[in-house]
Amino acid sequence: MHDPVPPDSEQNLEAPAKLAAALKASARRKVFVPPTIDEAILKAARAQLHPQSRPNAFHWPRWVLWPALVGACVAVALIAHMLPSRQFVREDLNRDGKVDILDSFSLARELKHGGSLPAFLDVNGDGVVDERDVNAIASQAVALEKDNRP
Amino acid sequence: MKGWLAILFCALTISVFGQQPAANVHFRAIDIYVDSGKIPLAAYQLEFSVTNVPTQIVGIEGGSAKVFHEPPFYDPKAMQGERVIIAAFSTEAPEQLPSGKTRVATIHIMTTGDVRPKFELKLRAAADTTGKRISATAVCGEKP
Repeated sequence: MHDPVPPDSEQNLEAPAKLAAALKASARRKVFVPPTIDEAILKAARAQLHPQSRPNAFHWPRWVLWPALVGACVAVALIAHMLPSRQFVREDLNRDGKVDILDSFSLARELKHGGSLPAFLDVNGDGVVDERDVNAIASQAVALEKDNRP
Repeated sequence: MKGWLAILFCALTISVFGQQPAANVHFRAIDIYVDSGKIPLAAYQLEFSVTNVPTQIVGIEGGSAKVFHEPPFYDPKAMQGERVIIAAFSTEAPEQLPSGKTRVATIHIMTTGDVRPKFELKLRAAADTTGKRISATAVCGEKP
């Protein structure tokens, strides 16, 4: 039923004499660990195993989080609404942020090429887009009051 | 009473009409040049001012290039002042447009005093035939 034990197995349990002597010698030597290191390791182990026990940790109550999130979104939307959007005046045809001779030049080229021009190019409001609108934009470009200084 | 009024009237008349013309008034013609390099110049805008002496701008005429021969756009309010913005463009073909250093305008000024006027010239815009901004320089010089 059970495995037969070889007749010489009892004799093999005996360690070699050299190994036995080495083991006995090692047991006698003691490794010195300074108490400070020991304490530090112990402290780190406690912090790792019980993180919620840190005394300075601050936790928001769970019921505060959602109202705070909604409030932040509303604030961002309000700021975005209040910021000035980039708008161009009608005479700024090339949309570079200033009215100068290039806008007048742009309309003059469009007139020269012919075709129908959109009504918003009627700068002087006389019902037709023509050379007078070109001159109106040019006059605005060189006006001293407006002062195109960058 | 009438005598005193007559004396006062005479004194005022002498003080107003008896003044000598301002001394050292000079009329000068300032040529304005734009250098667009090899690119044909189709449009420009620049600001001219005199910075150091009392000045009045008294006239503005066009340049040497055929397409800029007519006086440029300017604000009439600049007359009698010392600062003006001038601008012009042409929709002609590139072959008709000037390139390199071109006199685009001449500004006539009247200065008072013997100090040589200093000019400030700022090129605000220069463009090719497509309306695209190009790199260019502007200089001015007094006509001899």
